[in-house]
Amino acid sequence: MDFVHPFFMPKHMTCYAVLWIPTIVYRNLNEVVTTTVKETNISDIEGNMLNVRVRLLENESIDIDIYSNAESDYKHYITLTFVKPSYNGLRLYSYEYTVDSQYEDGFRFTDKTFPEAIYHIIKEFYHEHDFHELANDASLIAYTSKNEVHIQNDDNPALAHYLQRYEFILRAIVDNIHEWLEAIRAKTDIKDQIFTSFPKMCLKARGYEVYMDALYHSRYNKKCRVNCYDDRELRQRAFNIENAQRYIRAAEYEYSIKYQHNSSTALQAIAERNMKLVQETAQQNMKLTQKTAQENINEVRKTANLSTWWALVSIVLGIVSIVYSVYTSHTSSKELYKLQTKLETTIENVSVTAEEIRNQQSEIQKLLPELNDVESQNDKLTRIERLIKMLQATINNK
Amino acid sequence: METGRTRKSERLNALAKVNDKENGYMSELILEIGQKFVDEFIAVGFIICGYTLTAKTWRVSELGKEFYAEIK
Repeated sequence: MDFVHPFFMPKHMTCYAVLWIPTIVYRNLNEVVTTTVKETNISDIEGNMLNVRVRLLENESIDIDIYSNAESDYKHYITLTFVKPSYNGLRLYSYEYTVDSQYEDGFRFTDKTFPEAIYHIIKEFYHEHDFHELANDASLIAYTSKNEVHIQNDDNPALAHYLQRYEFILRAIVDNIHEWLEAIRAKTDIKDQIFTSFPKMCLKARGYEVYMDALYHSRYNKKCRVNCYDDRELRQRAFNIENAQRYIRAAEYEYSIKYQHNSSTALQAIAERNMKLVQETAQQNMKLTQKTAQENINEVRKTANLSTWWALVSIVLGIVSIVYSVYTSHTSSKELYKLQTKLETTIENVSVTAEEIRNQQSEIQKLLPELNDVESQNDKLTRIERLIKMLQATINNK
Repeated sequence: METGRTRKSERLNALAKVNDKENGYMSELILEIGQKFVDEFIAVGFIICGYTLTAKTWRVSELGKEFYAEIK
């Protein structure tokens, strides 16, 4: 891919792309549109995504919005303006040349570059992926040009490009099928091996044959024919296309005789092994379940017996505690009665003493006025002291 | 015209590298296995192209993994 410094490129240049939409029969592709918007991340590098949103507009043009790690939402990147179709699946678009001056490759639309991932997405608006996995259709490269292409002219450059691409793909498949057959022939033990890549490659080739014939046998293809001697290179291309298809059929035949049975046998062996494993596992599970059930039953019986014993013990203990409670409450009430009697006696004694103290107190009060008489003071004091001593003795005795 | 037979072991080595790495930048893969094998593997469907904003990327397909596993 040549890199041209943008200094030498005009700022706005119109480029053209011819996208081939694989089609089986001649028809208007607009009638088979299944969806009009597709969003996906087209980067294969973790942490460095490039999300694209491709929208099929009502006028059949294509809007492409993108957002990468640096953005948070889609922004418009480019519009592919639909120009015209041909009935063998070619569709002409125009767009403004876009390039980022810093990078030599990367996501861009130029007169030499049209991202395969975008081509693949646009194809999906009109085409269902028969005969191959979704991603295996991404090997087609779009035709791009600085000049408008007349896609309804005989042997136009876009048609030639796709036929050349078809030849390249078929030859690559032939080379790899051949490599595969040689490798498998050289192996001594392939008994349990299941082969998937060979059938897939052949199926892809056969699928291409179905779709590419719409171009190869198109009325616009005049010179890329084995019986046309006008252009040697184009004639060789036609021969390579047809002979590659014949080789692939021959290789398929060898595979069906020698190796298809191998895959079937290997699959059968695997199925039998799996069945045996499932049966063994089921039997083991059954035994385990039975054992567990028996253990559970025994455990339940043991627990039931134990529970009965504990219930009896609980009843006996209950009765004993009731009897003891009755006995202790009776004893307590007797003690309480004795205590009550003693208390009443004490109260009575205290009352008597209080009365005596009151009498002696009144005696003392009678003597108080006579304290002014000097002659009888000592006698009075002595009498008072005597009375106080009597009071103290009475209190001490009680 | 170079045929597939003469490049058999080179093809296997290239496939081994592709399966070993599984994905990456296209420019690095071209340096490792060459433009011819890159073009061939894209055509057959062993590797699928992608893009970041600044570089072309690639990843190995299921077909590429299965093919290599069967012939190695």
